Amino acid sequence: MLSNNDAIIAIIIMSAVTFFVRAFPFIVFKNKKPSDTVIYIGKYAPAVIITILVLYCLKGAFLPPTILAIPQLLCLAAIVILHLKFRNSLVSIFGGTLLYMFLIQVVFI
Amino acid sequence: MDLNTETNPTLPIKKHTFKKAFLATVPVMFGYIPTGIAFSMLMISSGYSPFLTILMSLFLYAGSMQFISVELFAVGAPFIQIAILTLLINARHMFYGLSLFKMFDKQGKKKPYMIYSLTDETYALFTSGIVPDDVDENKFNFYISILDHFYWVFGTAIGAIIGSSLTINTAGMDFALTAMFTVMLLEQILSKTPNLVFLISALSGLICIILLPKNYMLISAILLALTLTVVFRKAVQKNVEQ
Repeated sequence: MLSNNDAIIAIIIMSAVTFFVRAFPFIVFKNKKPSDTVIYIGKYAPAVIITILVLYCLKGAFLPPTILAIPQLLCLAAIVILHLKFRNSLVSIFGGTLLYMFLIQVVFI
Repeated sequence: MDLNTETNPTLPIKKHTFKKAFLATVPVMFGYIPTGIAFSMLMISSGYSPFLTILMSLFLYAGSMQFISVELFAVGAPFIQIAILTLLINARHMFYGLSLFKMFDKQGKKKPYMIYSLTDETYALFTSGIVPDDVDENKFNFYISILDHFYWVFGTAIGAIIGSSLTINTAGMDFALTAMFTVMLLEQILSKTPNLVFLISALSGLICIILLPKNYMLISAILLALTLTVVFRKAVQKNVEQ
């Protein structure tokens, strides 16, 4: 186990690396204009990343399939239906989350 | 994401902007606080002080990396290995700034902090076009950054201080993050983004998540999907026009 002092050094290293990674595109394009391709990537990166983050969030329940896959599927369906019906993000997110909490705490124990 | 909250003209613009930013970040709050509690209970049960645990959430502020570092600390991993793993696990953040040049340039002195605190969830909020018409856009975005950061540190502090005596059953509350990303994805699908982009991303995501070890699946999936998006640029652009 790392000692307290070593843990502090490790936290400083990890924080510095994380900040560097987050700052990387801003450093690279500080004094030069992003190319056409970079602008194109920046335009579609959110759609790409959010799609992948959704799949990543579901990984725990589906790979390999666990009992949680059922409540998660039900809640995803509820979120889609709520969102298409009301188009209000808070309603969709909270409806889905509350349903999920209910299902895993009461139904699928 | 539209938040359909009533506008109250009597509220001063600053307070009003803060309120709207708070509403936009509520799902992140519901995800970060229980996750922060879980992280700090893990960190403390492996022998570290509440102070160090809170410090880590304040300075490192990288959820998945913090969970991994509990294991790394426990086995006494060498600094170089910790540095390389941090780089690999957080490498996806290298792409986040590409969509935010204009937004962050407007932040002036706050720009370094905005970059520093750019997590997956904050990035997702920034890129979902949720800024209401009647608020100060720069302040709204800054409040989002600071609120998300606050939730993470706050959750960690709750876990560190009263963790073991908590009796509320928060099981499933962190599904709020999955729900939030799902809603953002729906909004992206309903927008003008070509379907081909989602197809490429979903396939890349599935392949990498199924085949690769946990620590590398995200960065590999994002790299593969962005590369394919560039390779199929003509088709994507044709898809937009349809």
